[in-house]
Amino acid sequence: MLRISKFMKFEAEVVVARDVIFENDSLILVHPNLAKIYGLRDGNVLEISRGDKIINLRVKISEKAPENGCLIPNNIFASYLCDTQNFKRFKAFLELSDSKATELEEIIRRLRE
Amino acid sequence: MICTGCSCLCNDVVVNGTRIMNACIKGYRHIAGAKENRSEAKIENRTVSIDEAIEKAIEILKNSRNPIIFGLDTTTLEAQSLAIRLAEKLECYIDDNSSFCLGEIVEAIIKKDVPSTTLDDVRNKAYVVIYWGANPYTSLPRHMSKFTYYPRGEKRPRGYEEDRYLVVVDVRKSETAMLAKKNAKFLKVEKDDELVDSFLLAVDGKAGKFGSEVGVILKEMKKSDFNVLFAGLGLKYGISNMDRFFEMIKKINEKVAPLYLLPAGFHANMRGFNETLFEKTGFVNKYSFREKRSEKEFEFMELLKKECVDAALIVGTDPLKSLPFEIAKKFMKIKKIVIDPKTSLTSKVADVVIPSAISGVECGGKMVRSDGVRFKLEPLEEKEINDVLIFKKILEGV
Repeated sequence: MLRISKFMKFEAEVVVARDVIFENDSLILVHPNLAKIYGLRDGNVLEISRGDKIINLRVKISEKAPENGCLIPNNIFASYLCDTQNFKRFKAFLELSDSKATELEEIIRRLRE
Repeated sequence: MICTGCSCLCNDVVVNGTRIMNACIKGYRHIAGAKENRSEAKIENRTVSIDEAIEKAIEILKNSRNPIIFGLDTTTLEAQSLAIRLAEKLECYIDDNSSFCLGEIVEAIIKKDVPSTTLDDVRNKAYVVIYWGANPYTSLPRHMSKFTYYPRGEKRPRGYEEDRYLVVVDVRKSETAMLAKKNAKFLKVEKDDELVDSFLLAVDGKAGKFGSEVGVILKEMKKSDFNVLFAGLGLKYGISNMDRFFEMIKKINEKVAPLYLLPAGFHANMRGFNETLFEKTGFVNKYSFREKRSEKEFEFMELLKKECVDAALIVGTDPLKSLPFEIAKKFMKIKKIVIDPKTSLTSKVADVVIPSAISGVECGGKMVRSDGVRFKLEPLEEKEINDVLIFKKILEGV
């Protein structure tokens, strides 16, 4: 079935939270309201871009995410996207992706470059 | 035993063989998982003896022009004192996670700029309990049941049912916010500054953005001579002016009712590091022994950003997990020595790894709870190699 949302790129606020379950997984928690608007489901992969940085994270629909926003556990994936000015809360562009979720080793490889 | 899984330092945890009682999920994982994911002595990813790793660490520190010692929040007061002595000997920088965590709040409390209290007094006396930018349900799982909201205290015999008023302030409906039902209020904020302004205006009888909610909270505070505010990382990163927040606390105390400030928690002995460095230097973190002062520019992150350090001795923490990418890239370029009982992202990329013991589980010593109360640890065993021994050897070597 064709999903219109597949072609939509949207901006959302991302909050970074500590001590969240699956802390080390490449996950993004999306609020059900936002998921409904963009047709997102559990297990989808979202491409998250901020400036020139892009990563893919698996979607988990959760009310723990801020309303109309997303939450990333405090891990290397969150740190990859953030900067010193927007350390634990920032805006990013999100888009459905057919690719796999980014792996930890990939971030370490980019760090070593 | 005293659980060192977080800064609550719960002193009623019982370990009987393989049974661990009274611990929260975090504490259980900390104690039961002590043997998992252990680090090994390594030099450039090659397995070596601990003595060889320590020798290499000494060599790096001796050859470094501008080293920094960073971390130390999960180790004991004794190891922290030795680390400070090492920093003094090397005339180098020393900093811990508090410089990008709740250090400003701890500093204000230690300097008595704002009124603070102990968790035991909170259990016995507190009526209004505010969690601002904190989610203790996951970060400090026993905080609410052991100290703040649920327990029955001397002056609060009916506990949360009638004798407490819970306020949760957050940008999202966290698990803690979901508990704010009876005798409680959840305030969803976009900008924390707006809520600070609303409190400041309400104290002067004016209405701000959150006028009605703030009015209700202040009215509840007036019912008691003991209210408490727990500040979390969400507050630290949500607020643009911490002085204005401290002014709010002072004004509420002057004009409304007693309100005490406590940090909502952090690594097990972060407050211990802040107090130990404060006793030695008069500052709680980001200190340069060469310049004999503490400055924003001496923060671990700032030093990396400006490429002011060429080697880092990282103790019991995992900065690579939390550093923004641009800073992490700079961190990758310097020499890295890691002292940690566990494997971490940082230890995976370190030049030298020195395995140690888990404080409170495998070695004794003292730690300071988030409210400043000191505890003597009761470890399950005493490992020969621990942070104190490692620091003693490094001190001798340099």
